[in-house]
Amino acid sequence: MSAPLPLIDDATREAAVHGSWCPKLCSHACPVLSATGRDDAVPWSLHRTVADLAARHISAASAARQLEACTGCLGCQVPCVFGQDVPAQVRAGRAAVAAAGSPLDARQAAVTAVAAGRSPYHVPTPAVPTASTTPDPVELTVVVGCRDTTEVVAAAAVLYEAAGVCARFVVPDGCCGAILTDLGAPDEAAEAGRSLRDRIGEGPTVVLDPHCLGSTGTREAIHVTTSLAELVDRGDLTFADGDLGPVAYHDPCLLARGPAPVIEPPRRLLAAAGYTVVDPEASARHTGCSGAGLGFDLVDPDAAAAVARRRGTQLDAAAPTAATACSGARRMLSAERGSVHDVLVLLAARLTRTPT
Amino acid sequence: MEAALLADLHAGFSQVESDAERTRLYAHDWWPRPLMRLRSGEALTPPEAVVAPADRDELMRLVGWCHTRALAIVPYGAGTGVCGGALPVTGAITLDLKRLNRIGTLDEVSGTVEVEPGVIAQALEDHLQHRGWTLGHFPSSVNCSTVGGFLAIRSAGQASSFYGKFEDAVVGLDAVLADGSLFRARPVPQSAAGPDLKRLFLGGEGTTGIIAGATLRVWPEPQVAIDRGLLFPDIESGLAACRTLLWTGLRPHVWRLYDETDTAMVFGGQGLDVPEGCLCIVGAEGDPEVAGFVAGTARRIMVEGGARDLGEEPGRHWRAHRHGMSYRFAELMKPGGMLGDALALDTMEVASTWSRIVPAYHAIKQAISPHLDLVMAHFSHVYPEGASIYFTFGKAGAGNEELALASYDAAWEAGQRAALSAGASITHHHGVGLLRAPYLEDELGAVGLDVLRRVKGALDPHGLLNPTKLGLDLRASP
Repeated sequence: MSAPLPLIDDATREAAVHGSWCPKLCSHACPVLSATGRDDAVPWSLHRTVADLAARHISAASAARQLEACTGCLGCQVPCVFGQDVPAQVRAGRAAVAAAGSPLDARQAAVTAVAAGRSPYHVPTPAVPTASTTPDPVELTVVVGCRDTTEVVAAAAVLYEAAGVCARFVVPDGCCGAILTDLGAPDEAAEAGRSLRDRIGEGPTVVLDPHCLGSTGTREAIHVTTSLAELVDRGDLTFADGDLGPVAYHDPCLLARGPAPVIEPPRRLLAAAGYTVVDPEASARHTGCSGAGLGFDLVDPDAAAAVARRRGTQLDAAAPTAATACSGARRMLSAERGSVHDVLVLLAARLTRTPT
Repeated sequence: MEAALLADLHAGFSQVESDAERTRLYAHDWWPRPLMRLRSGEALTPPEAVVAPADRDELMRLVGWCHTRALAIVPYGAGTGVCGGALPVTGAITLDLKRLNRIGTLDEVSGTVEVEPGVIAQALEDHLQHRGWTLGHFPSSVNCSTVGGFLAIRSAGQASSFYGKFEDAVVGLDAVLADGSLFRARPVPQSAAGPDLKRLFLGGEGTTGIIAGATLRVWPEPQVAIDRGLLFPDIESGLAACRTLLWTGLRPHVWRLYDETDTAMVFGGQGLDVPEGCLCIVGAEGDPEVAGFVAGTARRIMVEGGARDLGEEPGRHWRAHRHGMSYRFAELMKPGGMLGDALALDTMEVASTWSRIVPAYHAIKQAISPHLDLVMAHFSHVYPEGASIYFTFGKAGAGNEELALASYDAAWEAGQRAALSAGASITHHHGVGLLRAPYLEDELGAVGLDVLRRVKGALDPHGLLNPTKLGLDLRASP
């Protein structure tokens, strides 16, 4: 038997082998399988493909096609008694096929975009609010994601200013690196992460997009909703009284199932701003998926849209208004459902103290 | 498969895969025997093509297309059957049904839901529970198997003593026949309009038609679940108490009795002292008052029958870990598993009437034990007239895969023959596939098998639907 490919480390390979002998007991939790019926989306199929790739039982070109159908949502980890990290195995597999000369098409496009300082999602670079560019002294660095819009950045700026926090906004050169890792470009991701780290410097950091939490450049960062909820709890951030009715909150996968779950802060914020938070079908740790993760929307936009449509239906059933705290999720769900609001934008509209 | 035929297939349908590096994922289901062959390093033969129709119309068109070209079809859901029913067949396409995955109308007045065959059962259960309903079907494979697969093999869940087997939940059924036409059994609660034609397809394992949709009975989600553990001195007293309970007319949702070895595994696995006797788990669900009455009556009858009440903790533990053995499969069966290489591991479920069940248990255990290192069993899926016996068995092959396979085959041969001799069925809810095909004639009798073959011949005269499976054609078994 041939030696394992160099980019699939022993621990990942052993985990993939283990998973390929499990009788598919997390299939029900896969949003791609539920939305598309694709057999290559069954987490077992991904385990098997990575295991076979590492053992060189299949070609890199074939493996590349078989490592497309994952959103990185970690839904399959919830029922897994072994805590299998399927997205990590997919990332390793994608890196291995790229090293073997068969990268995913989306990887090449993303690397090219980031090298040119552009968002891999072709989102225009958001404007950074003038009032926030040179705060003195800087209390907080806010990292802007490659799918964040000017509206969301402006809302974050207004919220921090209202709370009296001097925030500095950093827009990475194209990407923080997380999407490059997802697509199998670890070297380019590391470089992007280093570049971002140099620009962030020391001090507390928050990210607007939960996907940026996967970047080496934002290793110590927390999500913006955690930060803002702390300001609300301290009384530094207040909102107008009112009853704005129900809002269905979509838990972003990487917040709800990430290593440090962020489930309550967005709900507390929405409640403080006068909304009645409604949990749609599949919420909190069991949240549904928008299709926005692991570059799935770049790798297979149609399938990602199917995942988003399914999630949109669940949000529709919960309340007429929907919100989330992830720019990727908002983008996907808005495209399929109509408007899905960013939590920050809803909060900014409810401030009692408008910054001067 | 001829290149021209394959090209036409690619041209004619929305999702066709013939790259062997991709179709390899369909080379086996979850029958342990091919998994053992795979573990030994054997390259299993993948299907020549896999077709995944997008919807029912494309499914009907595909089946009709295959009919006119005499191209055989192997239906495939999640690939989690344990008898080889979805193994590929030379010259046939594999038909992946997972894209038929729509959950339709939930009729909350009638208590029914429409569903397509490719839906993973737990995904359907999650959908229903969010709306306050349950399917009540909880086999240990609920997280991974499709509704269509469960129907095709007549599955049973852990709460079947109340909800019935999965086939009992079928109110209406759609199946695509071998010529591509659609059979529809309208959703009605019952009928006396001749034989129940749905039964031609339930348990047919795709040999008589391809299940394309079903209307299933659902229940309001239970408000409470009361589980309790009791300890009987032996299996005989436990089974007798179960009969007494069922003959009152009450139906506990869960009733399970573990033999001494299985009981030792349950307690020992938790690091607890192993008691002498047989653990019994009784569960009642639903309306609090009704469930409380069932649980209380069951407890009284079990205690009067000689059981020691262990309280609710064993029941809680069972519910929390009730699919645990399935999760252990990889640890045990993977190369270099925790019991060493070349482990043979499987389960064998049979059913017997009360008068024969204890002799059947002993006969099967005695027959398979010489070939194995471990044999344990529990009794479950209880009926007024009898129950299922579920054996779990294994043999450590000490790195010798040939020995493991030989032991595995010998155990199955001995176990199935013993079951037949003891008057038990050869299967209760895992089906036949290839594994049990050699025993079907003894199960059904020569005339019975002839009836089944005539039915098959009438519905599928060219033998195109899942050939070699269900004991209908033994010539080409891989």
